[in-house]
Amino acid sequence: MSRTRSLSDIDIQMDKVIREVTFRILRYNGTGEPPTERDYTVPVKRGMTVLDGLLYIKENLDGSVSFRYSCRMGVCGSCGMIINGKPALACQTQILDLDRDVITLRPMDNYPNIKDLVPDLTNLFEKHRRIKPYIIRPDRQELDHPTREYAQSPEELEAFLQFTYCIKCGLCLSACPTVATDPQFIGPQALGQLARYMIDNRDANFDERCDLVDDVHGVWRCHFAGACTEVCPKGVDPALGAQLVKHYILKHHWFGMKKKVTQLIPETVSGTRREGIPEPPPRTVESTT
Amino acid sequence: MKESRGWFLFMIAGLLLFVLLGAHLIGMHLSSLFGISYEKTLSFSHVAERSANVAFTIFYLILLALALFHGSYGVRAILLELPWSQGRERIITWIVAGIGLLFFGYGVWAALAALGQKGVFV
Ligand code: SF4
Ligand code: FES
Repeated sequence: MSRTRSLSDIDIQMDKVIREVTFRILRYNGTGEPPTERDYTVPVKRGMTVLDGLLYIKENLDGSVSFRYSCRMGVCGSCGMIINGKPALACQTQILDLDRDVITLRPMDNYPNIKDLVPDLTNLFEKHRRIKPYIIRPDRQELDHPTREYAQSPEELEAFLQFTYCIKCGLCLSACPTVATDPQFIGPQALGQLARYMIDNRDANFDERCDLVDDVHGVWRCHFAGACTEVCPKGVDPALGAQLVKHYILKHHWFGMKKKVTQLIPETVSGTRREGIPEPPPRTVESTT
Repeated sequence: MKESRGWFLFMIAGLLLFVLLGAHLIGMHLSSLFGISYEKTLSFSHVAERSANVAFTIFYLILLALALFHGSYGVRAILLELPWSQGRERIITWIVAGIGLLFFGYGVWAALAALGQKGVFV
């Protein structure tokens, strides 16, 4: 006879400590002194993420450990760090999946460090701002006070959709070997987003966008190492974005490529009622509007 | 100049080098395929004979120009990945371009000198 597990059985299973793991955290106090490693022992239950482990440390072992987080579900992009040598989101990394007795944690590479696992992301956001990450069109009035939608087919949406999943976690810049040697390099996150707006047929600023990263520290410094795509937790392919940007800039400057910009959908045609159609039965509930 | 212009020429030079260097390697090292012995290809009289040929000279000058442009642009790209000030970046570009031109000038001089020695060599 098979035994069905009750919900309380599962609760007990989830609550069972499965193993103890050492969190080796690179601590930095923000004063310029060299960072030092500190070990914390964390009892690990099924389903615990690295972020859960950090919260356990903060609540029970050492309240001074600093790290960033907000959503705990891979949406806000706050909890990026180097976990066992690889850039990853702490809230998306299961401790048991790492299958190690010691987990090393340090702040993301290629950013200045503020404290412990908190990097200074100013650079990331400034680079993102440089590529003007918003739709630019001459019909400003319509943009600010929309009356209708811009026509866009599912295929046209599909062409850039993956880039819209970027959560600005900055892991791709942390993995990028070019950013490591050239901090001024525009970086994969911004290039992915630039590709997004270059492809989006609602954006009418293609010509200017072609000039935004056409300089010595712009898109041409990308060596297509692909590390950015490898670490992106949202499945975005910023390396592809960079190559698309190169492709569009070359086509624009050498072959005069222009972009076909979409327009507003035509005004809805009002219908005419045919003769002889019976009236609907009376309403059975009152309308709330 | 927009960086895209230099980068595009860099790529085109790379592609052409692929063809021209291929032709050079086949001519120099796989000449036995065409019934010419390897020793003969590299013998002084054969080198002198080739150097005195206008078509060969033009071929090698094009090869030299492409190789120097491709190489210098690559070296500049590597150097510019280091954190320099904008002024220094411009100086680096000029220095690399200057060295490239110097080598090209030297190559042209050597090629023309060999052409001019036609009577002596052949
Ligand atoms: S492209 Fe991916 S790794 Fe880079 S910031 Fe966006 S979500 Fe993060
Ligand atoms: S806490 Fe929001 S992405 Fe990890």
